[in-house]
Amino acid sequence: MNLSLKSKIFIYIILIFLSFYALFPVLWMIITSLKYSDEVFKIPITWIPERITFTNYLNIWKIQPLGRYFLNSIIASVSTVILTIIVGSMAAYAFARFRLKIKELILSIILITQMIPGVLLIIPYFNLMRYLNLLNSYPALILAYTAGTLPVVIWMLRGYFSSIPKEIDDAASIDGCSRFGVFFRIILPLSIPSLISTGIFVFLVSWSEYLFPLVLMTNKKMFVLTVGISSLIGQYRISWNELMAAGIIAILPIVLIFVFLDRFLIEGLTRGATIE
Amino acid sequence: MKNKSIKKNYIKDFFSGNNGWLFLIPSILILFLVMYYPITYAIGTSFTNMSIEGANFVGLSNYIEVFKDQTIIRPLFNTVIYTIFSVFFQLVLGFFAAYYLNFKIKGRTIFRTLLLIPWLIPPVVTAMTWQWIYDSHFGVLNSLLFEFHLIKVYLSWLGDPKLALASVIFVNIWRGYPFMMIMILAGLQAIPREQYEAANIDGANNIKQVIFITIPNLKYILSVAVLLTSIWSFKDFDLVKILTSGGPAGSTEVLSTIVYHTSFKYFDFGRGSTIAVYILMILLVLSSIYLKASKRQGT
Repeated sequence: MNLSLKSKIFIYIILIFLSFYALFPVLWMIITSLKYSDEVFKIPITWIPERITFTNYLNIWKIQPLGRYFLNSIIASVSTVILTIIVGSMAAYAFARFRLKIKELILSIILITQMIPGVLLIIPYFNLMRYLNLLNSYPALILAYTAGTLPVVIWMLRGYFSSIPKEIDDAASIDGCSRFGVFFRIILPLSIPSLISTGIFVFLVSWSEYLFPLVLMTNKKMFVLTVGISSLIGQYRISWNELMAAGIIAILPIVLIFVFLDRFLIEGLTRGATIE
Repeated sequence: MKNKSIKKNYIKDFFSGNNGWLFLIPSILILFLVMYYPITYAIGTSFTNMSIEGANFVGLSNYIEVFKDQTIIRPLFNTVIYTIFSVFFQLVLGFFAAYYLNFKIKGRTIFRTLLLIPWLIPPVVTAMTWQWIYDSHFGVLNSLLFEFHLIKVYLSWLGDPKLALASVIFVNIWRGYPFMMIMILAGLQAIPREQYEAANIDGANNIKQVIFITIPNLKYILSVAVLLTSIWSFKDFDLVKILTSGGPAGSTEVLSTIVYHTSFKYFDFGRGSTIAVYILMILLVLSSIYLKASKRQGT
């Protein structure tokens, strides 16, 4: 379909408007984070800061153990990605080599999993982790994150593995490869793009988690970034410009994923969501 | 008959002496530990009056109490309103964005990535930022609207019981539309061009084409997307909790926040679990009805 110049301009205008709507809050975050405290509360509002400062970004690390929170988030999220990918890909492979009936069953289970309110699970989780002596530990978080993402991971990877011809498995078997060999040496390497997409999806979900870390970690040293930042809101010593700086720091990993892994991101989201 | 025996053999083949089960066991163990056991436990809790002191079996009395409870009506109502309006506008906005992203213009991938951003930001950060935007004294929204003479006085977007729910819904729309957009975009790209070409030959204008070609083709994707986003909005917690924590005066209290407050402010775990189970039941029932209806329509 060839578009006239007029149409193209119209489309660009629409998309620019939409982008502004989508990005405005983020832009406002950045602008606020670069202001000095007195300018934050100035009326009328300044759009371009009269004086730019990066001190908020420096201060925020000192006032609260933001670095520690960041580290906790990284450890918990990355570990979850590793765990779900390893365990999930194995299960996905098993399901991929099944047929028909299972698909409906898995679909139903995943859908039901999506319906479970987080608030329902936090009480048993709290008690379970307390019983296992895992409160305020990384495994508690990792297990909680895994619970939420593993079904979707299995689903996403199952879809991809199904598209790898069974003949490849058979050919390798004939050459003397064990099941595990086939899996690790052939299937997985072929699936790297899918694994990355799925991994990104899991990372995003884990990074954004709030309720479970809130309940499972009572020790301030073990807070994750989301919980840490929420604890800063409304505190007397912390001003909005510092909060916005903290927020920008919190979305940095996501921005990095954008910049470098954009392709996988879209694919992962579409797949994770297109349960068909 | 022949097919069945081939299938059976294949399944047996995968699992017999070939370590097939080993592939599944780690997942099954983990899911059992972190999902099935806690759910059972939580449902079990709803049949007790568990609190800090201990727990006693009370049968269905929690369920009956909650059902008869007048104070639940407001949160239930809020949750329904929140869900319906969020999903509807996410759908409209998502469709609008996907429609224009579908055109093959330069820089389309950049726009797609930019428009995706609201969905990728952690809800806590989103909520915090919007709190700042909505600030009644120094927030940028008030400032902008005032300067453009759209409002005469600064409004308290999150502090006024009449405005708070709408304000929260607006944020949910902002952060939720990209999901719809991506789904619909995928669906749009799967529509065969021939249908549009045939319509062009028949002289159909743009709007007619959208109504009679685009939307029918999208039925399946739309039904999945609407179902998922409805579920997510219905049980949403993070956003509401950080933005308003259910206030002011319970005007933004939704079912999830009620559960949270019941369990962790009043330590009435029995009742908290009961309300949470109600959420699950409502979602299960509505989803089955929805899915059955979709199936009958042939999607």
